[in-house]
Amino acid sequence: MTDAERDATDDADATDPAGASEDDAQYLYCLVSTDEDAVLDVDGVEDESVSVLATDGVGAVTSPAPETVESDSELAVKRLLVAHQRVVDAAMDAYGAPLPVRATTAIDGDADAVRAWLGARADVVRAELDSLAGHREYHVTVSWDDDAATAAAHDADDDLDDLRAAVDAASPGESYLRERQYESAVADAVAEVEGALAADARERVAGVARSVVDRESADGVSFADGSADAVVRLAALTAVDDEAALGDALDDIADRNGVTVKFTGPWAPYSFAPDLGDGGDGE
Amino acid sequence: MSERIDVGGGDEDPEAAELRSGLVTLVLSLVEIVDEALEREAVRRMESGELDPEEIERLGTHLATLNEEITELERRENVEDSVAELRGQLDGVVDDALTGLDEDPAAKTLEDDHTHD
Repeated sequence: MTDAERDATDDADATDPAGASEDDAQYLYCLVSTDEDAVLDVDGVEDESVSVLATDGVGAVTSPAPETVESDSELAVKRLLVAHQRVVDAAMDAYGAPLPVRATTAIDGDADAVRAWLGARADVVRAELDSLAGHREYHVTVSWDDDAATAAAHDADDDLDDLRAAVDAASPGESYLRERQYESAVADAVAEVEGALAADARERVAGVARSVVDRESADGVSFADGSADAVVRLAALTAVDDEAALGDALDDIADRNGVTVKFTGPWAPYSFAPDLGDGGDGE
Repeated sequence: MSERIDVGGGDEDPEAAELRSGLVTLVLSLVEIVDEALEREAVRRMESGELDPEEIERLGTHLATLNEEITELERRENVEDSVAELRGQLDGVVDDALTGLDEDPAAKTLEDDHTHD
């Protein structure tokens, strides 16, 4: 993070570039390809108007930053994230794939400070935007019903049937330990078949997408993807033209007993954007 | 297993009742963890042939009884949900510790960001 860039949840004193007042800061949503300043027809954080500030062929999508964000208030944070995502979506509709910036990022100072910040890394930003042009992020969640996964584990491992039979045949005390033995073996076998399913899904998606990454179990983008039976959650950077092919690639998996494939998008390339906080070199 | 833990205040004192419930939840969560470790060790010994049939039966019976008593105690103290919740939180702590070891900072979700205050 540079001197002029800060987290909107920080209380640290801001620097004072370009003669701006000490309290001025611009909330930063994403970066886009454009030669012209503009105003986006969408409400930003705290319903502020959203501006696109252009320099050197790239633009920063910004609005006046809130003074602080109540980071310990889940509602306040979610409200901010929803506004952030709403603006990024609007920018994507207007300019194509944007470079999303981490939520709660703000640049100290006024519009000139934003342009100075952007101008310092314009070459890197332009190269990243050119690279992402025509692509979108899609989310794929593969879930497997517990009973169906257990049945698949039994199909794959005959020993499980023997262990189950041993539970039923044993005297009460031994039966208790055999039951634990069986449960442990089933858990291992289910993990194995689920791992194979996840690898299969990953490989099929990778066959269509330009890039694939595993997502964290908590979905910070959609807020609605927390299936407890999820075997794998993927983010795929895919050409817009390949969207249908991505869905088709998972048809065989979705046909398996008890398997559900959830497919959402297009999203801005949140999972594939470089971290520009260090100056935009993507590290 | 059925000894009452007295932290003072009596049932009419809400703070003492809450403290007691929290303490019972913590103790029973730890007992569950130890019980599961004992069961895993018993199964390991059974699989490795260290135990004769009589020992298997006796050990299995004891562990089954212990498990029933823990379940009954949780039911009587009305802490089944809070024990399950605490166990889940402990699992989450361990998972976070494991994933944090090789986490790519650039791959953080947006929800992570609000922790920077």
